[in-house]
Amino acid sequence: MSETPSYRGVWPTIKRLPLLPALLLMPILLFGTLGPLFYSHDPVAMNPAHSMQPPYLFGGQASYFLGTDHLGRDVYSKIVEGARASLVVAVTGVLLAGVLGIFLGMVAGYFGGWIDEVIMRIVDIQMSIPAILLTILISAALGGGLITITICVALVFWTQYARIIRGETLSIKEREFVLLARMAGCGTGRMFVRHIMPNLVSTSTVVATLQLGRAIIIEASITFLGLGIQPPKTAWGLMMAEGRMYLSTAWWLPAFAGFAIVITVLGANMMGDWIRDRLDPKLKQL
Amino acid sequence: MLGLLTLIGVSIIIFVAVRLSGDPVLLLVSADASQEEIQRVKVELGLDKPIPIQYLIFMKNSVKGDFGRSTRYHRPALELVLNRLPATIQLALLAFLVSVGLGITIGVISVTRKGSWLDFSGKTFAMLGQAMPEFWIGIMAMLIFSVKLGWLPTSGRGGLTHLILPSLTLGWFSAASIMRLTRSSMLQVMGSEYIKTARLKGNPEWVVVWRHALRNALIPVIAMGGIQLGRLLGGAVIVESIFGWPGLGQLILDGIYSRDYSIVQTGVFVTSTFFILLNLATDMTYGIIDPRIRYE
Repeated sequence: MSETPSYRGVWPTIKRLPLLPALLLMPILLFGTLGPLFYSHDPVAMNPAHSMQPPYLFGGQASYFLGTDHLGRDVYSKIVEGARASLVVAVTGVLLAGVLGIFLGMVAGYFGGWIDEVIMRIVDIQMSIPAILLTILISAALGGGLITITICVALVFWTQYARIIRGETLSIKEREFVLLARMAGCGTGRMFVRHIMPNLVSTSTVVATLQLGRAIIIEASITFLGLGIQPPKTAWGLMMAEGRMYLSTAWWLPAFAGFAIVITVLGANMMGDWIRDRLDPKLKQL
Repeated sequence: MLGLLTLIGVSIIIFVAVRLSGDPVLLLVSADASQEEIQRVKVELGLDKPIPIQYLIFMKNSVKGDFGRSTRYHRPALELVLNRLPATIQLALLAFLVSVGLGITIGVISVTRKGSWLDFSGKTFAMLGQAMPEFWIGIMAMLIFSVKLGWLPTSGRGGLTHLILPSLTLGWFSAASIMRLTRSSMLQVMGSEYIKTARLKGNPEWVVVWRHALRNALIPVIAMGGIQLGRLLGGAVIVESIFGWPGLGQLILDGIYSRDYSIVQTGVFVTSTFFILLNLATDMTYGIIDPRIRYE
C-alpha cells in the first residue's frame, strides 16, 4: 500500500486551512496595527451637531456608517481605534503570562521537591480567587490604565501555563535525550534552553492561542466596569459602558462595540482550536 | 488542612492588594481637613501601623468573627457581606441549573443527532456562548427583551421575571463549556463495549443513551460543574452590575470605588472560601461517583 501522494489537489488543502477564524480575526489585526488608515472620521473629533445619528441602514447618513455617539463621534472609527487597545493588552498580557508561567512551570517540573510544592501552592492559592475578582482587586490596587490591565491579564493567566508546562516538563524530563544529556554533564541552564524548552513550544503555542479569547473578554469586562482603560482613550469596553446609558435611544452605541468583541473572540477561539487540533490534540479537555 | 493553608494564602493576597489600592482616609475627611484630622482618622481605622501588623490584627480579629467595619456604611463588614450573599447565591445557583440543564441536554442531543442541523446548532450555541462576554449578552438581552419588547424588567430583584435575564446571561458561557464537555465525553462513551451490550439486550435507544451512557459520560462533567459554579460566583459581579441585582458582587464593586477596605476584603474572602469549599466538595463527589478513583 503506497503512501498518499503529498499533492492531493488544491481544494482539500484549502479546506484544511483555518479560513473562517482568519477572516474573523482580520479586522482586529488590521485595525490594531494599521488603524488610522481605516478611519472614516477622526475617532476623537466631537461633533455635537451630528450626535446620536443612527447607522446608515437605519436612517442615518452614509458617511457615519455605524452611527454616531452622544458626542457626535463616529462609531465605526471608534471601533477601529479601540481595536488597538484590545489587541495590545491581549497579546502582551498573554505573552507575559507565558514567560512567567513557562519559566515557573519548567522549574517546578524539573526540580520537583519543595520548589515544586511552593510554586504549585501559589498557583492553587491564586486559582482560588475567581479571575474577575482578582482582576478587579489588582486593577484597583495599581490604578487603571493600559499597563495595569496588561499586568492583570498576565497575572491571571500565568497559572494555567504553569500547571500545563509543569506536566509537560515532568514527562519530557524522563525522556532518553534528557537522561543522556545529564550523563554527559549538561548543566541546568543549558538543559533548559537547548533540550527542554524546544519541546515545550507546541504546547505553549496552543495554550497561548486558547487564552487570547479569554484575555480579550477579561480586558473588555474590566474596562466596562471602569477599572481598565480610562477615557479619553478609546476602547470597546468603554464604548459599551458609555453606550449603556443610551440603550433605549441609541442602541447602536453598545451593540456594535460588543459585536466587534464577539467576532474577535470567536475568531481567536476558533483559531486556537484549529492550532490545538494540529499541534497537540491531547489538550482537548481545555 | 490544605484548604486552610490556601485560605490563609488567599487572605494575604487580598489584604495586600486592597491596601495598595489607595488611601481611604482622604475620601472620608472633608477636602480641607488638617493634618491632625487626617492622622486622627488614620489611627481610628488602625491604618497607621505597618502592614504586617495590620494583617496580624486582621487575622486575630477574623478568628473571632470580626472582619472590621465598613467605612462607608458604618456597620460590621461581615454583616453586610452576609446580607448580600443570598442574592448572589440565588443568582449563581439558578444560572448553574440553567447551564447544567441546557448544557447537558444540548450536548446529548448533539451527540445522538450527530451531523444533523441539530448538532450544528448545538455546536454553534457553544461557540457563541464562549465568545460572548457576559456584559454584552446582558446588554443585548436587555435591549431586545426589555427595551424593545417590554417583556421583562431591566433591573432589581423581585419575582420570577426579574430572575430570567440575569441567570440566562450568567449561565450561557457555562452552558457552552458544559455542552462541549458533555458532547465529547458522550462520544467517547457511546463507542464503548457496554453500550453495545446494552443495545443488544434490547433496550430502547433512549434508555441506552440517557440511563447508561449519560451516567458514565457525566463524570468529567461533574468535575467541571464544580469549577463552573465557582466561576459563576465570581462572574456574577458583572451581571449584577448590569441588572442592578443587589448581590455580593455589586457590594464589592462599590467597595472598590469608595475605597472601603473591609468590605472588599471580606467580600472577596467569603467568595474565595466558597470557591475552595466547592472544589473540595467536587473532589469528594468525584470519589463517590466513580468507584475507580476511590482506590487510588
